Amino acid sequence: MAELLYYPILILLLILQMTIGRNIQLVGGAVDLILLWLVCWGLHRQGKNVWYGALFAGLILTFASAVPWYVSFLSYFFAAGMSRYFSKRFWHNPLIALFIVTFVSSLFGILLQYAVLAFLNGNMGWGVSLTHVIIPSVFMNLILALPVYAIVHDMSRWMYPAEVEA
Amino acid sequence: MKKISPRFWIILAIVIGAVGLIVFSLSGYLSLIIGKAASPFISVESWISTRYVAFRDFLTVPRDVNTLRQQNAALENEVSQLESQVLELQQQLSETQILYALLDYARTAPENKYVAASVIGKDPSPFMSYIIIDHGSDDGILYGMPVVTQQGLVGKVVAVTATAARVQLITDANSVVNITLSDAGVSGQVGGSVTGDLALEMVSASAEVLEGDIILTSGLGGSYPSDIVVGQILSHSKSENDLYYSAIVQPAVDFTSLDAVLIITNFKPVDITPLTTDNG
Repeated sequence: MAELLYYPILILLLILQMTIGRNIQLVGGAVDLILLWLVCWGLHRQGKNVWYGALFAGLILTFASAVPWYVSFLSYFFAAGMSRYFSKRFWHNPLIALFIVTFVSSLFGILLQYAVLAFLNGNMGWGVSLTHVIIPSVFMNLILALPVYAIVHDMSRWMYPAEVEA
Repeated sequence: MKKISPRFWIILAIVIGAVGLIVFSLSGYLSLIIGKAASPFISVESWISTRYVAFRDFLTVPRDVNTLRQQNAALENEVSQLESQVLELQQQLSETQILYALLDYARTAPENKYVAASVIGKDPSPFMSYIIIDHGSDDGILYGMPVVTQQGLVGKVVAVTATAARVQLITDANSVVNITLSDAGVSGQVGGSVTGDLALEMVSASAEVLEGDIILTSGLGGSYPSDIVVGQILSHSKSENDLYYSAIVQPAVDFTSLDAVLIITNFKPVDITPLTTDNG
């Protein structure tokens, strides 16, 4: 029930990304706050419902972005799946898992966007896209992964307080 | 002879003594003695006075400090309110200046009808050069309407909701604008790119293209009205065997600080897609 709080936060993150996130650019790249949130949520022990978050994030992105709808769904489901997979295997060292999942899912998402847009538009230079958008975007996601993880971690501790054994 | 009363002698002695004391005092002969005699009294008086003042201050000054603190808090509150008012007024001034500039532009082309809108966001994807504006179908905005500022062409509306719309900028990688070079008088196209730069395309190599040439919309294709400024040629190149010029175009609009735009609402874009697709 407490996870219902994650959904308005996803909407808030989308608004932040459209207003502030896209104006703070590294070359031509921008951070994907929603993807970072899903990754951190999925890596958490209580993050079993991250799949619903990915579905919701895909829906709101479809509404807000001009990118084809299936790109958002695929990249967010990929991030959710990978974070859940790593949360079970790297539970003792979540920071390594965080950076691996952030790097791979960011790269997957941005490459998928590039591939689809290049296929549909045909006017997307690979070299320029790589240096101008893809690498800076992944780099920005890696930079902001740790602060977002700290926020999600604190929030989850507040939402799921540790049970005291009698 | 009547006997003089001893009381008389006493009174006389007192009067003479008093007069003598007054005379000596006025003449200054007693000042040393008076000073010595008054000194302990003055010390005591001074001691009591100091303690009294300290006690009075102890009782009254804290009240003054509290009053001053309250006044200080009230003044600080007032200052912060005034500061926020100044910021608000500065923002209103900035918005007013933008709107005046847009109004000036609208007056130069009175045949068009405009709706002014604020830019409220950008597309979340870094590959897409789109903006979100705060006016939609409720305000008469329709798909395909051209969007401009006082500087020149911004793009066109590609998606509309009741209260908002998405505008594809001319810098988007998927955007193509049919143009004409005002000086050379030749037609061509300007396309966007992933980096947000504009490039001149399809201008015949036989044309006379110069740096600084102004680029206007040609109206061909029916997507945009004619004679809207798109930008100017920054640099161009052409090798001997090239069929077309390749040139970098400086956009007329500063897309990094786009706060408000005008939508031309009486322009009906023509969809020529059925004519370009192969139906046979």
